Amino acid sequence: MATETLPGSSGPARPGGRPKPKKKTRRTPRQIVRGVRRRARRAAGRVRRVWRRSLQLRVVTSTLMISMTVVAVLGFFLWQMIDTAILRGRLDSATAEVRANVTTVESYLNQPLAAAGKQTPSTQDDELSFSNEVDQAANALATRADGRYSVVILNPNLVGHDRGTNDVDSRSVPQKLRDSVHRAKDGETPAQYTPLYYVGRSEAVPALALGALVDDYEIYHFFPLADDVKTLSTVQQWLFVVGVALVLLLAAVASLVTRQVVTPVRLTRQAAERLAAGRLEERLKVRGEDDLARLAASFNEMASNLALKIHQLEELSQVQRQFVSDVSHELRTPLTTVRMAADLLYEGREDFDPATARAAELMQNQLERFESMLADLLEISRYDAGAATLDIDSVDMRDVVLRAVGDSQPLAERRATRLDLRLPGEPCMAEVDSRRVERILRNLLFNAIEHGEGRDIVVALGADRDAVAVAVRDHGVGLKPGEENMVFDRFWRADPSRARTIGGTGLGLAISREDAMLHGGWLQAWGMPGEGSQFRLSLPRQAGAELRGSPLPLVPPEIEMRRTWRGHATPVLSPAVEGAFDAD
Amino acid sequence: MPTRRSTAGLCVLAMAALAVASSACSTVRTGGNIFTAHDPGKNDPLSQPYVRILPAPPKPDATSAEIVSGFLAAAASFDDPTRTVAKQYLTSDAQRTWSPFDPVTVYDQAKLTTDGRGDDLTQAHVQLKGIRLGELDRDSHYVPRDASANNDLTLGFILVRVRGQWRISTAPSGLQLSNDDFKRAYRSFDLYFAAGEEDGLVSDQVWLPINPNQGLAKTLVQRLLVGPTTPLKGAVDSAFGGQVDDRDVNDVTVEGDTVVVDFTSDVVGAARVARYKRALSAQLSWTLKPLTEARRIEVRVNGEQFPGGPFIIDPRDYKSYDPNVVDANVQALFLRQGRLFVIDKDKDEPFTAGTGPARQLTSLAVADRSFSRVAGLEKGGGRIWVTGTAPGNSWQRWMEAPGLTSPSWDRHGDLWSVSRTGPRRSQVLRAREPGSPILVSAPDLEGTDVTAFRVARDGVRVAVVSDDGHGQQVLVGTISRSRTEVRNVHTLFPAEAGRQVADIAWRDASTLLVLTKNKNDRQLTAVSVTQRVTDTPRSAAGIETITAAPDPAPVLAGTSDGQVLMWDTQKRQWTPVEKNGASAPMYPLG
Repeated sequence: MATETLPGSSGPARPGGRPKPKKKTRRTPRQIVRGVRRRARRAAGRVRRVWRRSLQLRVVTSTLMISMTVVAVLGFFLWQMIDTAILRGRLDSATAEVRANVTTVESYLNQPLAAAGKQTPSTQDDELSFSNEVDQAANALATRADGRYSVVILNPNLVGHDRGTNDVDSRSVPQKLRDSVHRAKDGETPAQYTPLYYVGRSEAVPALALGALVDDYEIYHFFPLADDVKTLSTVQQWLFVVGVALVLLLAAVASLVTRQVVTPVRLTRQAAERLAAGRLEERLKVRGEDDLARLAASFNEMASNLALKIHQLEELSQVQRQFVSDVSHELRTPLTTVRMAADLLYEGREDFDPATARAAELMQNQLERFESMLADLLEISRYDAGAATLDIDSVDMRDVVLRAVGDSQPLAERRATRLDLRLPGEPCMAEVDSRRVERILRNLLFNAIEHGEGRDIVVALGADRDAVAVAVRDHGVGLKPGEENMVFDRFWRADPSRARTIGGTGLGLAISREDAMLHGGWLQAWGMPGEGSQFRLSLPRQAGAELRGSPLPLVPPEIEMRRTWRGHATPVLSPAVEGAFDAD
Repeated sequence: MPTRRSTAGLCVLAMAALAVASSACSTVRTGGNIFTAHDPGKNDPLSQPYVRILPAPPKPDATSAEIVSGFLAAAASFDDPTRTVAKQYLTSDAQRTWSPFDPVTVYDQAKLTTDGRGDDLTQAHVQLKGIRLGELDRDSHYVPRDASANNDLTLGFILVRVRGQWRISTAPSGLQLSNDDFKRAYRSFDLYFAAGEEDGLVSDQVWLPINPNQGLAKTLVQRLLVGPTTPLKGAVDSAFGGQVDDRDVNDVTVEGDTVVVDFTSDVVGAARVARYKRALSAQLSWTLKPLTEARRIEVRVNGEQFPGGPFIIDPRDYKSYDPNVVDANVQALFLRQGRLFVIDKDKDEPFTAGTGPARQLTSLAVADRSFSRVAGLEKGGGRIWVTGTAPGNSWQRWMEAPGLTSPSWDRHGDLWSVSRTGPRRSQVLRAREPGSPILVSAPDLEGTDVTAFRVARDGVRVAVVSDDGHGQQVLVGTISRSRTEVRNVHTLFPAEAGRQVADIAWRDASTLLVLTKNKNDRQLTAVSVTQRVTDTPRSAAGIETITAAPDPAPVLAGTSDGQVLMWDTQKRQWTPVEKNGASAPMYPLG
């Protein structure tokens, strides 16, 4: 399942993917930055992975996005409408009030001089009767306003005729409004939203200012909008809360709905995974008749068909293996007879004429070969039947290697090949089936001698805490790319035209690999044309332990060094055993 | 596929939610139960509407008269107590000498005249001519000008050119306000101070400047803490003590139905003694009454609860501190053949008080509203008799001195009178029990002929009719705290040739009725002691004595032909209430 490559993490595989059991060292800032960046990238990768894997998340997210947009747009328009409605009502009532006040002011300012000039001795009752008509007008407006709004009366032509009610500050009057008051035609009331300042208070209040002109007097009304602003902000808050609640509700609904859809799909996926893992009896529950139920039914049908086919194939394969095994067994009895006859003929060959003697020799040779091939076939069929068992014993691997080398020595001498042994000085104990390991090494050595073209063969033994490894290096023709795995196939040969000189059966490496896997170890091959090849056997020191790495490199060190000098990128080495990685 | 289905479902849901939401607020109910609509209330219930002059800096190229009127207008603007804008009209020298905190002159009918010759002059003279109305002292006490005197006012301004612009180099000291300016910038309030044994209040009128930076209520409480004005100095106490000043008021705010007055901790000491605490509460609640109405007042200290429990003042608990002592429902007594009667339309029986021989009494004084003690002046003016109203009480002689004036009780139970020991020689007497009157010093009265002496109902102010040789005038003074001296005497009702003052009577703690007579006419005038404002006199033909009680109790008058008249405010005429030899009607106190 982990086959997706993550954008952003392409390029050379970094060895930093695994925690390093390094000693704690003081890190430079650059290292810290790099670490942070790495961690961020990893987190982003994880998020992206979750995003790509979860259908539910994507549906919920897109629902969130769309509903947020819709709610935001709707909320904005709604708020605009409320805003307009409230302020319009405010403006209408304010305009009416201003009209009435302007009439009042006109009656004060235009009253006949005689009436204005009356100088009655003031008594306590009419304490606030002014003789000045501006004061009379302003006082009338102040009494009528009663704190609901403020009035400023300005006269640019007369000195000392500017009035304000209560604590309104004269800087509240915007110059723009003053200009438009002078330009306004009859019946027009210029208005403006403006900050309203009060004496002794630094912060302004939002207000609606309306201007009017009576003779020379500019009359400005300021209606504080603090209440409206409060109402509007309450509405805004509620719109926001309701919008958020709506969006969350929609997301929850989307999550619920997708969950209903995704859960069966997820169950189907899990069933498919289990099916792929070999549990062919896996089936889905079919509920209802909807699309998902039909999907489950189809899946079940597919699974049962598949199981049937696989079963048939398995049976067929079983029959074939049984056939091979039976044939091998059946061949042994006649072969023994043939062998005895052939031995007789071979021993008495000196009495035959040369041609017949030669034929007897040939028959003897091919019979030996036939026998060993039959033995290998039987061994292989034992593996196939799962009947192979290990005879575990703790042995010194150096002895095993030495025994295998000793067995190969005659052949090597025949091929004028020198075997170069590199063994560690101290004992190298491992729990293995020494017979099988010896057979593997023998096979590797024969193979190396056969393809080594007379050049030196290096046999190295390495060990660490958990594992031991034996590497057999030859300097022959080597392997072509892609042949590293094929060498372990049954009856595979690099060049079909070449003859088998040593008389290998073509099953040796296949058996060796089965032996290695039976130990829980690896048998891997490396090769390059013209550079020779190297086979490496890695085994855990304790039987049954999992193998995590090998003490010896698969690629010979000199080749690796040459490659890094040239700056070539390391080709991705295909592992011999699935899921296992090299630890060099 | 599932995504598409869920999106469609979501859209339907969203639209349904919107439809529900929009339908919920689209209609207004047209029916339903009756509910109470509440008044949203003003922003600040303690404030009253007022009008301000917006001060404007001098205009460029203004004439000298414009500069002066601009200066006067800017000085009349009360935005800034230091009058920063007004000072822009002054030269830098004048800015240093002119102070807005000097006493305020109030004038009316002003005209500006300028020597008005060409622009080439370096100096200009502008004169403001008008009528002087009065002055406002530094302690906010307004002193009106004597209406009869010559009150012409001439204020001279000298202007010089500073960088080509006229600026005032010499201005009269203090603020010069027209009557309009004064009414705009000041509000009159009555401060209340404790008197006697801290069981009564005395009102003291002040004119407070409106300050837009703080509420009127705060200004008022600040002024209360400063103490009484000059006329009442030495006569009244402030329960706040002498250690406080206007900086001890943090704020006056309204919280629901409660007015919160926040003081500094200096006030705590004054409220330690319960008597002072009650007096302090009475002072606060009475002083703030015009602004707070019936709200309760809570005193806090630096924003926190008063130490030792909440200090909440309910104005109803302090009604007994009323400077008027009596209210409008009070009854009056009168004399008929030396016996006491209650003025009552239904009953006409003599009062059971004063056994023994009927005395020849000419005037009465009643100590309280239950008539527990009544004093009477014997005909001839040599003796004052006092009796209780309990059955069996007999007349006791309290004072015997030549030329006694009508007796007058104060609210503390002391009897006051003035003896004329000789021409231009008078002696104020006070008695608490029969026999031994105490001599009270009154330097301003001792060299005059005193014909009437009446203690106001607040027990502090006295009204005196005296003649220093220039005709009879009405004076007002105060009784000092120790009640051994009458001081702060000043003229309330000036003498006029050919006019005599027949009688005086206190209507309430600050209004005095004056009955004047000249050759062929008698007039009754009401004079406010604090404002010295008089209302239009009404004719009072044939009336000898008067008595009054707080509005709307009617004014009663005794005539020379044995009737008691009542002023009918609706018909605006005198109507008789008692006849057949009735005389000398008298309300308690006053």
